[in-house]
Amino acid sequence: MIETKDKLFGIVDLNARFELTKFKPVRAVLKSRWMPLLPILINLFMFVIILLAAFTGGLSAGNYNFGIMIVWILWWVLLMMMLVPGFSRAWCMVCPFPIFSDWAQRTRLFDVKPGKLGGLGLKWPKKLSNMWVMNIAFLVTTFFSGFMTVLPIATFILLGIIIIGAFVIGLIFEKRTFCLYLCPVSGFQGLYSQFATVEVRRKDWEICKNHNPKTCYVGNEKGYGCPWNRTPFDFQKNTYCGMCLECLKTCPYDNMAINLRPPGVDLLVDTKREPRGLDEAWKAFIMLGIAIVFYLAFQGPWGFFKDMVRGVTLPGYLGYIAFHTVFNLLIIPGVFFVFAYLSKRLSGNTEVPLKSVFTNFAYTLIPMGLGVWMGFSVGILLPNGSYILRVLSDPFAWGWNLFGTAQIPWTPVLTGIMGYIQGAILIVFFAFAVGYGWLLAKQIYADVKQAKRGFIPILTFLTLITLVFLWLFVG
Amino acid sequence: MKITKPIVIAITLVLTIAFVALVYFGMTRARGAPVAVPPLQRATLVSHYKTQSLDLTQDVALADWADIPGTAVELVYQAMIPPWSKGLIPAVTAKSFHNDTELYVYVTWKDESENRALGVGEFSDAVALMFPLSNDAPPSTLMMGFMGKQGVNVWHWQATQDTEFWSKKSVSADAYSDFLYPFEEQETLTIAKSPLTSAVSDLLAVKVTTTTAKATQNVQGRGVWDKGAWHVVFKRALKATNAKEDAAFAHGARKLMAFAAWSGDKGDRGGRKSISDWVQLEFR
Repeated sequence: MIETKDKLFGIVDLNARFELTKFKPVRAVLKSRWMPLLPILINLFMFVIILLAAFTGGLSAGNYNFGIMIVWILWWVLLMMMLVPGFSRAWCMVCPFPIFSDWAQRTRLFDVKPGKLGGLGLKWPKKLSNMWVMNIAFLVTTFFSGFMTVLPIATFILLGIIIIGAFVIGLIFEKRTFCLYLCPVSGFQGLYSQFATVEVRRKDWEICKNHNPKTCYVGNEKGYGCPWNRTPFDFQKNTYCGMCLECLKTCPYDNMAINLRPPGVDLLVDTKREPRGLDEAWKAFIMLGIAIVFYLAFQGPWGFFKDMVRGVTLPGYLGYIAFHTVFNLLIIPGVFFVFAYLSKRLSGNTEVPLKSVFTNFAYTLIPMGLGVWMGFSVGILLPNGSYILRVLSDPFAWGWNLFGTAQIPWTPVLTGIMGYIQGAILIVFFAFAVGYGWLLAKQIYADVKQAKRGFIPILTFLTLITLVFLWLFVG
Repeated sequence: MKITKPIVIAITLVLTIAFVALVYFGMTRARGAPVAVPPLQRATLVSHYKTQSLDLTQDVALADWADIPGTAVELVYQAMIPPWSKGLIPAVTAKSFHNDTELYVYVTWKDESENRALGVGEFSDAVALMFPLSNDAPPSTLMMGFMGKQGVNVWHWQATQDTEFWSKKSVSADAYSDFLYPFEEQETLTIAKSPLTSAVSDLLAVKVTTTTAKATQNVQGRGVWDKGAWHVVFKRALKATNAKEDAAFAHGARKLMAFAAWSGDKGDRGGRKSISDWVQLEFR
């Protein structure tokens, strides 16, 4: 953990931690090899149902399809509103997709086989060992959002590609290469998990320093070396920690911990091993841009745009792809660049590189983007959540009524005040963005006076983004 | 077994081919059978020119409509609640004429029961016409939330409102509200209701849940239930009073419109209704 004197909003001690694993039963559960295998197996069962429902649902209406409702209403909302901001990459911990490649590499599902892992075990190219491929993968995935959220078969295709991709990549490349650098869902989880209130970290550096070999990295009879290719003994950011819990199992000194912490402390981390980078900055831009485009397409009143996204006509659909790509990859970063340039000019600092100002301030968009996505998720959940009760009872639309909820009608909940709920969430996360923006400004610029001046344009940008979304949400 | 390059290539090929075949099967068959989607055919309702004017205070005279050709408009039950695929009101027949100053639209549909009263679990029969205020309304959806900034103008006739307006009868049930909170000596929950100016509510909607009565009610209407069928006539000045709020019509022009119908005895109310696709209203 990097010690900092800064306090968020001047009051929140960013060094504060509460170790959840200090409770023996908690540590015992997390060190068991059933964890996280058991939730993964339960999740795998759920995804078998999802895939079957999505496949048999074919081209039928998505709002009564178990696959679509569970993935795009329940899972997405849980991910954005609870899992990522609360529990970091807890979804990666229980994600069932890599289980097949893990099994193939380890030739074991439950216990530990020491020694070299199976598969071709190739190393992923160093130049691509960042978020760029995931940025493109996620952006390309959103080209098809108008189909995936409506047509069950489209969701089946997406999930099928991810499952097969995870398996084949696991056979070719070492460990969890797919999760690290290719999974479309992984990138934004990594980015936003920097804001999470939970972390996996080593406790005492002295213990790790004197411990050889570093079993958290190389593995031992209790568990595998970090499947995410991290060095658990010294990492400082959640970004690439998949919370697989292997390091808790392999550490003979119980020196790995799961901590509760103030939200967002990773935003201040910029070390040689885990530097802030343009790949993560662009991920933040893309996520913000996609949130705007998705709002316009899925929750806005602009029917013509909805038709473009749904591919009603080929020129319209191509127009959407072109706009979506340019907007996310160029326009949003371009606008932010102008504000970053103004920040440097206004600060009066001539030494700090503009690239550094641009990249570092882009991290303010992590809390901002998370708030925007949480607001968007509220707009998915409240109007559509009641569908989930129906599909749980009749997952294949065969007339079942497993839990007696198959006849519950579509019931929007609190939609009259939905915009205000979204607006309130947005304002809370705007406050976090401003709070961390100020701390980042102090890191970027040499003194407080420069930081104050340099922060004004970024504050303006964040305020404008908030106002745009308040207008979209509240009208 | 050691995983070698040929094995990885073989697994990748087999998985890819199997997956593509599965997707092809799924795409060509929904619910186990090939699906043939018929081409979209939009119904047209022609509003012919006639010199006649109708006086709705004298009830609905079915003879006035006998010689006007009708357009059968199929309705589907909204996809929101069960029974999704069963049309509680499978179709309405619509007729229309205009006399250069007034537009008349007549809608009839079969309904075994006449529901003109409100009560607990008792709902009104009704019918509505919807016109997008913008001329570039999206052709692929008629959801009220997606009509662009200008929204839609809805003419909503309800049997209960018809009874209240034309027959001056109360339609409320025997249910009552205790207007007095305990320990309050005066009424705290007074009932406020605007005086009716028509049997038809002239409404605006811009987004979902924004249906609002217009400040000026410009549509008149009257319905009669006869031998198991409703016959409802709408009447409005051809020229829009307010271009921003009233659907605009013109001789020789075309206008999109949609129908919705409610069967009170089957539990229809609010969003639970049968709806049509877009219908082309053509003025000749």
